Amino acid sequence: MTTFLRFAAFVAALLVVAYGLGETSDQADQRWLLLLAGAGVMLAIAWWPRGTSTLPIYNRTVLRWATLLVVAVTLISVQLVRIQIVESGRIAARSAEVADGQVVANPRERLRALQVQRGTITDRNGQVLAESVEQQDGTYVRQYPNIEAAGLIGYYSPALYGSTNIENEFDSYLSGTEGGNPAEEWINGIIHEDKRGYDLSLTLDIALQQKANELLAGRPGAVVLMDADTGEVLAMAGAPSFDPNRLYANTGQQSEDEMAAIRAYWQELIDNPDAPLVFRPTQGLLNPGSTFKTVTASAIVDSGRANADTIFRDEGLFEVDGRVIEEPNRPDPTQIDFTLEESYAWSLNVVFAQIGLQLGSDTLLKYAERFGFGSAIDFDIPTAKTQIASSRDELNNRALLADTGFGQGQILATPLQMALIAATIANNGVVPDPFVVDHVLDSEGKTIEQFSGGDGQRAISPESAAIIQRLMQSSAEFGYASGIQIDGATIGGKTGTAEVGEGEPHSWYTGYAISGERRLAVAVVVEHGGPGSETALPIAGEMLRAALAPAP
Amino acid sequence: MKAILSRIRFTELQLLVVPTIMTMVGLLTIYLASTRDLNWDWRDIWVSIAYTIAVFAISIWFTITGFKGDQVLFPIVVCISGLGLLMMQRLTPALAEIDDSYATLARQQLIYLGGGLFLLLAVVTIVRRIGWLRRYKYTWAFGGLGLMMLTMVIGTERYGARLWIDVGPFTIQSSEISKIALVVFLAAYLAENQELIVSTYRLGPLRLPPIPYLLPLVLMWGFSMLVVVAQNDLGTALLFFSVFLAMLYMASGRLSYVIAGLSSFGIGVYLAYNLFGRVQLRVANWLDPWRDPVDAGYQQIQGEYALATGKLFGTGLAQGHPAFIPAVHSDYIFAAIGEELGLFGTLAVLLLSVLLVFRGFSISLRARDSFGRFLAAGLTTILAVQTLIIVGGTVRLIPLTGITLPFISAGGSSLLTNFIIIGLLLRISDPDLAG
Repeated sequence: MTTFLRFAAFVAALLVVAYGLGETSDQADQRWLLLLAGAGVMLAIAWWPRGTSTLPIYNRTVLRWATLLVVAVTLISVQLVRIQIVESGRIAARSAEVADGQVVANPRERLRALQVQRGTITDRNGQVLAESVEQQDGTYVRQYPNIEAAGLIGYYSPALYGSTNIENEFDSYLSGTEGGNPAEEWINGIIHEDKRGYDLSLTLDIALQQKANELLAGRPGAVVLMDADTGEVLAMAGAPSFDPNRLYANTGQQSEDEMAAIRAYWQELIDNPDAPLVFRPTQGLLNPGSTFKTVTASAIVDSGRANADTIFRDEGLFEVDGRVIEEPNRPDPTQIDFTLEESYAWSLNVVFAQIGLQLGSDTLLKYAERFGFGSAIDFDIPTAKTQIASSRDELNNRALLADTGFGQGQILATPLQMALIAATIANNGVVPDPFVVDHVLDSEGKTIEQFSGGDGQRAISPESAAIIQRLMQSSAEFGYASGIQIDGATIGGKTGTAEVGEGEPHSWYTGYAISGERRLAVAVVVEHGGPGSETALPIAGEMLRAALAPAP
Repeated sequence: MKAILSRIRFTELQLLVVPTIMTMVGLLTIYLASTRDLNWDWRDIWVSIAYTIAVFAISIWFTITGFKGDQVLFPIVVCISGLGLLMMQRLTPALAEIDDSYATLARQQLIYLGGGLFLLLAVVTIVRRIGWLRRYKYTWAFGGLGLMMLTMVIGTERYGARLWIDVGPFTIQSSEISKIALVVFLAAYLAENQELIVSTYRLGPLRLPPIPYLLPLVLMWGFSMLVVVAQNDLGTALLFFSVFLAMLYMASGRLSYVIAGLSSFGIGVYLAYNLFGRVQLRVANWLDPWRDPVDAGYQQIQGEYALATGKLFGTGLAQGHPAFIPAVHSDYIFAAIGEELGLFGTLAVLLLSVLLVFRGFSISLRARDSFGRFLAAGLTTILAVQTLIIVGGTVRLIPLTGITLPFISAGGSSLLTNFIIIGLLLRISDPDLAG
């Protein structure tokens, strides 16, 4: 009986500790301390000296006192395991902001940031985008000699605002804590060899990036240019942008005045209604307008219900459940029958509203999800979660389903998402896995890790993709997306003019250029930029032309 | 020849190999980390070599003098204080960067360590009998108390408490010496009145404890508690209280005394909490240091950062940044061990303390007379409780109260006193000891 009681008490102590670890959030949470005290009592029961009745009183009491001391040591050990193992990450990283905006954080993190030469970030041709420059006092300052890719690279401000995007996501490489030969690292650790972070080489072409910024000219918007075949991102620009050099702050390197200037710049960025700190290509959620028709067309073709020559009717007006959809896009108001190819090229809303209804919400959603909608795209930096409708049930509303078919409704997409749709068509139906960090180099320039986009996910069959290519090429030849001509390249495209609550519509273009073995996809958006063919299309044309131009 | 062979302390000599290798390898690691080079010379780790020579010399001296005491206790202490030696060698350059006055910390601690080892040797060699300790029990008791009260008058104030007396170039923390005096008094008094204390009075239907015999004890204890509380030395107050209660329980075997003691402790804590803002602050910092992270909670937060940074293996000696923690060389040394030696290091310190305490109790159980028994148990309890109080405070199981981690924290008085304790324990473990 006592044996059982002891065993039960021991198990109960373990359970109480496990429960406490799961239920409480801090190692001095009062409930945790009470639970530990309870576990201590149970351990004392489990370990209470046995068979002591024959011993002299003194021996008995010494044994008991020793048992209590062992219980106390055990409780301390449990607490140590909690602090040093179970929750070490949380405790070591805990920080708080005090009244005057100053941050209390683990000084080790910042010290590491000061003493380690952070890795360099270069574009695909070795142009330096970010580097750590040694100062006279032996510390390093993060500098950005070329700020064209500021949004993508992110900023690095460990003493004030942390870091973002590539500076943040690839911190373990840049600071040198990941990668390399473990044995060598261990020896270097023993002798405190100055550790240098690893360098990153991007797929980005800074000349194209610069071109994108020039074309956007500061207007809120985004340009994404990628290799549809490999998933390499060649240009990814968002406007307006910022100067990361003016946000760099590290412990003890800046004077009070300099810190005040950094805070003032930050405040200026925060107060700007155009949100320069939001990187639009991956974080900007906008209605894609007619560029979404590529998805609707893919769904109806791939589900076998239509081909390029299937006839649809457009009488200029279409009513669904009391909502009247007007057709603004017919080239000839007397024409009523249109092939799918013509409907796409002329971007006929009434036709795509009907296709949406014909597909039904489940099929439309299924295809949208295959193209990447409904989740955050897996990419080297964080991406926003896109949506077709605010919830699945909403699409049971037929009026909304019809609107969704031609790209209005509640659809929210990032420019990266829209570039991937065009890339999928150019890539014969496979959604490429986008990436921008190509490889990691050590200080001697040796590649220690090579990244690639992976095999991608098939969204539609190659046959369906060929049909959609025909649609997009017709659109670029005689439809609203015409106007881009590049020698030796096949162009496919789709414009979008996304009506928004107030102001001019968002101007969209998505498309591709296939030239020999190269397949490039592009997405351009200019917020409140007017018709897609007027604002976004010329930008996309310039980008494709620049990307396909032979190297000087 | 055979007689000489049987006198050689083989167990002790073998056990000493481990801690001495540890201090040499550890110091080499620290040296290499500071030079950032793989070249070194034996002279670079002379501190550890000197330590090794000293401890082996002591063991050999024990053999020569025919000392037959315990052979395990000394190696355990050598291991713990070797770790302390390493931590001081490691922390001194880092602390000196912050404040020049720390530049001599390692050297001072080395001198104290040498002094401590010498005192241990002296106690074991010179003290042939312990009866005189028992005979002058009131002298010790009043001497200890007097010293503490003297400190209150002529002492030097540091960290908001007046606990130190300046004697020439040295500062003495009087409560460290007084704790031995108090334990000697308690052991002597309990040994003399053991039977009476266990007995009960009958007063009509009531069975009462022998109040007249408990009274001197309680008065002496209450008085010493008052002194340390008045000195704002909460850690020492907690230590004195625990030692008193533990010794009373071990000597009497009566749980009712413990319950009475704990009840009075509860009342005392309640009163102290409501009377002293300082106590309230300690409790608040214990439960949530983040409510004032730049000031009151700063030390505990920095200590936690250090422990959490260490994880399982630690950063390695001289690879972490323990100097961010205020008082890291004294009260918060355990967090520095946690950062650089990881969970393995902190558990090793706890395990060594448990071994030390078990050895102390085993000496107590083998002692020939009650005074020896109680003295050994009381001295061991000092080391045990002191470790629990400071480590428990560091890991936030209990409110933090400043007290040294035995044999590891910086502090001459503490180190010397603790080596005297070990000397006395070794002496009590000697079967030849005369009463």
